[in-house]
Amino acid sequence: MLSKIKSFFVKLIPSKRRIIQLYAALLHNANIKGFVTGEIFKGNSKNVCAPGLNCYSCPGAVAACPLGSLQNALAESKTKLPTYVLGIILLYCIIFGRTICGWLCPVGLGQELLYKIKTPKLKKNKVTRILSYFKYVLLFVLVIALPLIYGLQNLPFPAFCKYVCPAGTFEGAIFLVSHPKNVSFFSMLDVLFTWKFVLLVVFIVASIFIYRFFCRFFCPLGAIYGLFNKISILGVKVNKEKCTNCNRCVTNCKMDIKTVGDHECIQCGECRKVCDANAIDWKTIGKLIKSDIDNEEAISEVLVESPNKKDEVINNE
Amino acid sequence: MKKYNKLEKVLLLIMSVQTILMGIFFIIQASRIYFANPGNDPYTREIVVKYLLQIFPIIILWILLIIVCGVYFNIKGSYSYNDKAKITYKNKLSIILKVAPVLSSYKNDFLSKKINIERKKRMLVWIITTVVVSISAIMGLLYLINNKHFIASGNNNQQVKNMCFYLLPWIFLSFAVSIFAIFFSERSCKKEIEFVKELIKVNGKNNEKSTITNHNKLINIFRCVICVFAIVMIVVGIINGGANDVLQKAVNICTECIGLG
Repeated sequence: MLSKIKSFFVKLIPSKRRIIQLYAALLHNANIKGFVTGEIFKGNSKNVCAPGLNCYSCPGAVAACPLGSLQNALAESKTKLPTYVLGIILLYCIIFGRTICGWLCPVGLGQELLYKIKTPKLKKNKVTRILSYFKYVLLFVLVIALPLIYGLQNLPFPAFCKYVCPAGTFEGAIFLVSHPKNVSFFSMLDVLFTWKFVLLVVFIVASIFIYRFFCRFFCPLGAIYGLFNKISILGVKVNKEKCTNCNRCVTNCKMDIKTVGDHECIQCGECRKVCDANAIDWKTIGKLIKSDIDNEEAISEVLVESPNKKDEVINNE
Repeated sequence: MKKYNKLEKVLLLIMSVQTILMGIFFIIQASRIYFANPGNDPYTREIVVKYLLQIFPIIILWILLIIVCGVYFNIKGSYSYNDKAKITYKNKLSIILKVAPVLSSYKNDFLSKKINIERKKRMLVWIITTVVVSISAIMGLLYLINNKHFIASGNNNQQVKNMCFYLLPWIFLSFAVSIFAIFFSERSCKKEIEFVKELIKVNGKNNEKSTITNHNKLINIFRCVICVFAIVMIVVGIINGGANDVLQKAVNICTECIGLG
């Protein structure tokens, strides 16, 4: 009985990646005071774009949203080239690629936690791989084309934020409007909020059944970062000399990858646990990071009973 | 790994039905609030609380179910819940081709002819797919670059709606053709695998190892160039006031972004 209770709590120990994701979500929304006062942060740190998707109208946000800033900068491109925002996004792309999606993005964390709810799940397949290209359509039409078109007519039009982004609805609208101080905002809620709320509910329910539903099919930020995945400084890579082409990494990955490190890979490193040949490692700073596999040995020391328990602990993540 | 027993399958089914129902109820309540008084301040705190309270017992039940299922499955241990995808025939083919004999040395061979036919069929399907997707992209671009469709002083929401009605069929067509091409390609790869296996049986494996070229130096140079370019862009942006513009937008509530119109 005691061992069952022990194993129950041991399984709840978060992995290194989960801890980093939680810290990152907290850092993205470090202005806790904002949730209490119902006001957004107005400090100078909002000069800088955060790496992950996090609406700057969230009371806790301490940095600007990269997508929102990009759309607004494109809208002003008639008078000023959007070099600042593009430079920041490019720097994130070349350093992190989609490592941001797998380790730093609060929206990604939210979806992974929702996916843990015990329901039957929809596996990835050939169709989901094709549908994953839809986010590039959204990137081109809503993030680039529409803000540019209307911006040239001097009308700021952040189309993706206005019509799709769930981060804005959840972090911005719901947190702001639910504060007693912001009762006057209720009069501004209309058809647009109803549409966005319905979309938010669809994203939340779908994320319970489909791994990272928003990230895989709708996130334009992931689409941008994915373009630089292969050449980014951080991330996972396959040692082709050790690789036996068993494809366990691809079949075990829940994202729509064709190979480890391609534009759909969120560089989470889960494939490293299933690679029998130890052919997958971290790029650039592989030797500096202690392996997650070492952590699993540490967890197994807590469980005194049969060695099979180690596999149960490892596989229950 | 254990498999789910009947009780656990029922529990999972209840959980999934309850989750979907939750979503439907939230959508229904939001629609009821809006359509009760459309376009005339439909949302007030009292109305939202009233409609939320109507589904409150279902929300509590859902949360309790999540906790119960979570604790139960956590205690029970790991399951053979298999969210691993199947390896595609295309991947299998690329693996098997690494050990297959080189086709060009068997020009008159019946099997290599069959393999070439399958490859040509796949190439044709992908060419057709590329043409259809390109046409859809061009139609979409033509719509986007036409100024008459997007007038700043007009009803922007209606203009975006019209754009969606125009673009969505083209997007749907592109994805439908791509999905068909993928399924065709998989079938064709499956056939080719059988032919390649026969070829290996008849002619033996190819023992030549492919050489792995090292592109690391070039990639590192490219990374450095992009890093420097990004930093230069940031500095130029700070000088021309881009950073200040980001700050000005971020410190004000973007009512459009959060659905307040």
